[in-house]
Amino acid sequence: MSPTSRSWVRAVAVLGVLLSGLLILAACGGGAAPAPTAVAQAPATEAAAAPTNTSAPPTTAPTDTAVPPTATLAPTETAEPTATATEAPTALAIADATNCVTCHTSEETLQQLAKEEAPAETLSEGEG
Amino acid sequence: MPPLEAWQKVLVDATKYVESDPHAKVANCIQCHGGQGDTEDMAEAHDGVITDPTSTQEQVEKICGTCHAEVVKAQLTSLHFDSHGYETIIGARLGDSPESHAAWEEARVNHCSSCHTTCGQCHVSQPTSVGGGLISGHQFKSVQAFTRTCTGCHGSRINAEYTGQNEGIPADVHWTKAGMACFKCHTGDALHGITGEKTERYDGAPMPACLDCHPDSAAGKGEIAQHNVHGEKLACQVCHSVDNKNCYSCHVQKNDEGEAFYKIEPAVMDFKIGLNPKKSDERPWNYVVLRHAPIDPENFAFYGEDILTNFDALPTWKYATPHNIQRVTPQNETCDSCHGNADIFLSEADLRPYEVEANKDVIPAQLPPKMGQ
Repeated sequence: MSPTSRSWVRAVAVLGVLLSGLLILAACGGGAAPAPTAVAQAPATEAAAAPTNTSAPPTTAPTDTAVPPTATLAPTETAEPTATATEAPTALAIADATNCVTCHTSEETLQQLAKEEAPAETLSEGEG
Repeated sequence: MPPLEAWQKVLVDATKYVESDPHAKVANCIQCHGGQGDTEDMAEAHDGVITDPTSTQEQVEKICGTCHAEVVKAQLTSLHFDSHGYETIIGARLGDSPESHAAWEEARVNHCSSCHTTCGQCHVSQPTSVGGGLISGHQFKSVQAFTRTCTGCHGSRINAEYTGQNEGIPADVHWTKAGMACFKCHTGDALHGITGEKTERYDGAPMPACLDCHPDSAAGKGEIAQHNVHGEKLACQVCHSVDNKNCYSCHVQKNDEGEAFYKIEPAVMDFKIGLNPKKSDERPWNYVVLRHAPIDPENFAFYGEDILTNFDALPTWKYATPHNIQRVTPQNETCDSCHGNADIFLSEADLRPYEVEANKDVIPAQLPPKMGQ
């Protein structure tokens, strides 16, 4: 057997072993094993690291922040009251002023109705 | 200030304002003045009406600030808006006593606060202090006639001097020769405080300065010998203004009905030169014209005893820039009109007993020697 043929045989053998191993692992549910291991480690790390406050926050933070985005859906809905609130003042601000203009542009009406208020500081003496 | 009938004060011009003024396009009467629009009853319609909607900071920011933010921001800190120059000057005389400050505050609210100027009282109506009244049918003008606005408040001294209403004393040459309105020298930026905050009228650099328009009058810049000789020793007014109005007191009080009033003793026309109480790099002159301020120790006696405990903090003969400028004046006709002439300089003989100490720093110790000319 030539050296080249020998390498081929060796490579096929190694691949065969690896494939066999994978098949066995798959049959035993080994594909899911790493994840539970990691999850299982997280609480353990969290509990152990709590006093030192070093590794726990990174582990918990993503878990915590994962919740608020769901919660922000509610505040987003509060935009509606804001929109209705601004409608009210706007409605008040454009109260009809036609009567004001009608009277105050009429010289005749004002001559009849306008009265001078009592002058202030009537007791004052000298140039102010 | 021309007297207005009650109806004239509130007459709105349909053409000038309602149909064409941009302000009428962005807000209606009620949006600025309040009141009720859904009634034909006069009293009900005026319920809640604000005659001058620009009289408080909040209203100015809300009503004018939307479009005129820069002007409004400056205006709210200007002397015109809250008259804080009174606080600066009277405040200096109060001393540290809390009682004095409290009494002054009460007097200020009763007698002085009405003098502040609002946006509307320059651009729309006559000042409230002279009874108010729309000027151009509610038309907003960036510049209204000064005879309907400025002189409403600055009338008895400045307007009378400027337009020659004091008997025997000519009007200011800027008025007689050029007909210049106030705004020609006092710019909008300065009047609104855009050029910088001031603690009182003469705080900081002169504004306007005579040399702004007359640069050749600066020492060494022209051919007039007197300008070159006197240099920065004299303020321009020392040679070019004449007799001006001096007031000696303004006693404020209230009657039993709570009506506020004042009593001012008759003014005196006089012309006095003294040492510059505000000498600085910006006002370098040794000599300036002085005018007696309407102050005496009893001005606020109605509100308490010895309120002006620090009366001597400022001279009662104050730095002045009379508005009656002449090219030729009695004092600039000859050198000896001033040199060696004790009458033209403020001296202790001109003072009342209570103000000697206050003016010690503005009375020249020595007079300029006689020249024999």
